[in-house]
Amino acid sequence: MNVSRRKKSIIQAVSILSITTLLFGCSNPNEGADNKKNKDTLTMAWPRDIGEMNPHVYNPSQLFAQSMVYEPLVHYAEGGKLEPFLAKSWDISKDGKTYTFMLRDDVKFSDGSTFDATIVKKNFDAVLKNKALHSWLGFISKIDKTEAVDKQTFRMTLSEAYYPTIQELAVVRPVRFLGEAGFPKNGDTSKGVEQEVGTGPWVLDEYKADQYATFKVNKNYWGPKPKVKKIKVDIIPDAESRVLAFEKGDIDLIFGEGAISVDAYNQLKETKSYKTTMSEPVATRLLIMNTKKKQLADERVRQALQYGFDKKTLVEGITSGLEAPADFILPPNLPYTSNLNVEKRDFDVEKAKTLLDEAGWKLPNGKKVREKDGQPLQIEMMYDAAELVQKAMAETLQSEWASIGVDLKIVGVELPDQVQRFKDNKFDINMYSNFGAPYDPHTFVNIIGTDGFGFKEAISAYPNKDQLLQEMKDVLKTTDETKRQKMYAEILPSLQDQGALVPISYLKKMAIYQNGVTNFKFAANRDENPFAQIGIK
Amino acid sequence: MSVYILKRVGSVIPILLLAILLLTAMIHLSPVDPAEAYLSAAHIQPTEEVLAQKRAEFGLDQSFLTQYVTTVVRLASFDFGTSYVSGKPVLDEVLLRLPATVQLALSSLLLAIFVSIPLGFLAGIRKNGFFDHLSRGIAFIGASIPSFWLGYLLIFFFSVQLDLLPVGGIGSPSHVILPAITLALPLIALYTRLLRTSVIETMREPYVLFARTRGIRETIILGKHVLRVAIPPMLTGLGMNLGKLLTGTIIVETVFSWPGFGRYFIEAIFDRDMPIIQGYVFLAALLFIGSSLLVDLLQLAIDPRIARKGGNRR
Repeated sequence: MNVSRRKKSIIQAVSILSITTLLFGCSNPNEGADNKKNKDTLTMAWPRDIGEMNPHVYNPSQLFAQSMVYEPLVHYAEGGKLEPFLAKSWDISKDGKTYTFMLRDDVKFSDGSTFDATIVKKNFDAVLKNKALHSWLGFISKIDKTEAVDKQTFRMTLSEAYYPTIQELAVVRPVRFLGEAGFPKNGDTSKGVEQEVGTGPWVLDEYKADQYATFKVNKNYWGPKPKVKKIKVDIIPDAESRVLAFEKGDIDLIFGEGAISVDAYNQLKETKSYKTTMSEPVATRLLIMNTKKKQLADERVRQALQYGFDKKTLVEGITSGLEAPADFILPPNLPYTSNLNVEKRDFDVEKAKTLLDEAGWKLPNGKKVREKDGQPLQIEMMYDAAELVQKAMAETLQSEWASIGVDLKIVGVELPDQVQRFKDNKFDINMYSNFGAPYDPHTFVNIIGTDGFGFKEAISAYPNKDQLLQEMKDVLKTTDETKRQKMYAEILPSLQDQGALVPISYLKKMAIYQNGVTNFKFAANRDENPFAQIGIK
Repeated sequence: MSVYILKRVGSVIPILLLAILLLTAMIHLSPVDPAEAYLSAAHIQPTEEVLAQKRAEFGLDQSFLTQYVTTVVRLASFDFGTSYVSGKPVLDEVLLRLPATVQLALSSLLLAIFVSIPLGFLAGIRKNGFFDHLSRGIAFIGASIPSFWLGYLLIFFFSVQLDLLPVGGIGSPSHVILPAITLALPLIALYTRLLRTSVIETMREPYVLFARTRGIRETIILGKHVLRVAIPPMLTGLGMNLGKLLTGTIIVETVFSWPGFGRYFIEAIFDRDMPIIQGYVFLAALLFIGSSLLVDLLQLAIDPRIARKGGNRR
């Protein structure tokens, strides 16, 4: 063999070797995103890695996954009903400060250890080690004392009465329960857990960062056993790729808020080859008018703007039915939000024009924009530039309001920038959506009534502002259910009727799944997983 | 020669310092408070108390200069800091995902080389022939189709319609095919055209004509005299594009659910996870600088004229 030929064969060998190493290199061909058609396993797509399965931390842990493994004392059910869960009942002292929970005695963690008052206390204490981080959840910063009274009784004492405590116990994080084996030696779970031991129906089985995670049934589960043996979560960051994987049949289920584009959803729906469903409202999309601004300080102008656009056409046209036109600032399926008596303001161009005339904004001859004292009626609306629905809505409002003589400038900004400008009161009209179940209505009124969020300034022209702010503080301390209902029935309509808060649409979650999937049902809690009784044929 | 190498390596340091300065400035220029971005992503209502705690944790309450110096010292000792979101060291997060990105990038690079060398060569020796037209077609497509769209098209035809290849993910050799093609196509377009031009130019050189008149077989002329001389300019193009390859993975990894560093970078941007973004940009800067250094040194090895001139390039 001469030299050049040997050289050649070495080069060939090296290239073949390198190609094979590359192709097979980092992996084992038996794993990965390939899904064998398996009737026991439900495969869903999710945009992000599920993160650490630790009940006491936030991002990047995904709420739906945390809710599969860990459970709350109280369950947030449809219509905002608060039902017993790991606590079979509770008792609230007359002064609203002491909460005593009677725990279920048949609950075991996935490793077989017992769920009792001692472990409940241990979890609360772990959460309280990082009180500041969790202080956004109102009752956490008010906890004075936690006690395991006996094996099945847990007691918590607050520094002051705070009625939303029970409701806040239903959230996905951070007040869910980790088994003893999960705790690190120092008891501080904020840096990680030893094992993902929960009481939930699912146990994390296999996990590959950024690729997939599988959950299997918890053999020790105390409640009704799930119908599928496994749930596999395939991580597909791109929405269009999720749709393609679904069409190919690799994925059984896609769900979430804006999980796929409106177009893709409707296209898949129209094929009639799949099942689609929408959830009950989870939150409201609102316009917030800044009454500190001269043009918007007059209630008649704010009302005119409400009369001046066709909400139904706007919402249905832009969201193709993925959102529903909203009549109330909070969805009526939240606690204390049903049967509220608010003034309806339906589309009425003539009324809008009259109101503007009355407010002194007249249309000069030959001009298209109303004026008052030589100033044109110009208003600026900011929206999240990344959200197509907000952009389309802003554009539609711009053209609708042009016909009543209002010059609307629309400005797309980045979401965090939008939040910042809202806080700094640097806006005329803002698009906002509230937290939804299980956080509202108390979080909503709390945000409105607290400095530093932007709402308090935005409603500053309301004549009854001081009384409203006081009521919003007081309602959180109420101990009487009837009185509380009555107070909400005053606060919420007053906020809405004076026109700074304009409901646009109810946000909903979407789900699309293969025909074999049965019993898909959205949880009432916005953050909770929908797998309670899901099956697959 | 060693002086030249030292000089080139030394020139990297001010560039890196400048890169870090820009990185630190990024945090200050952005209207967005990373602490607030973290909270809103976590569905936490951003109260002042929580915000202050997060800002102190992230070191955002320090002055610009302090932040800059700290960053330089940190990066010099290869400490990239801790991710705001996961709380884990950035280096761990990077090392977890880098192998996948390297696998994809190298597969694409090899594919690009193995396709563009024969194609560019054939296109060059027969101007306006079949391969020339083919290479021109590929060049147009490769230069004009955005890679995310090409990715969707490939998935649609090869995965959904024909059911030949997986939609995304990593695992088997079949998983790498579509993302590698998507990432390689723009490179193929570029390299093919570079090689073609270079081949055409070389064919016009007097020594080729001389070889022909000497009666040397055409295959030997093409192989020994033309191809060998025509490849170095393509090598330069290749080196210049190594960094581009890395940034190309950002989109391709997202479309194909490839669990690499590029896709993680996108998540970090949405999360305003500054240490991760800084780490990525720093590594990308290193790669850009490193690959151009490597190409220079390779040129030096191939073309002795550069060294003889004491390091002054042509």
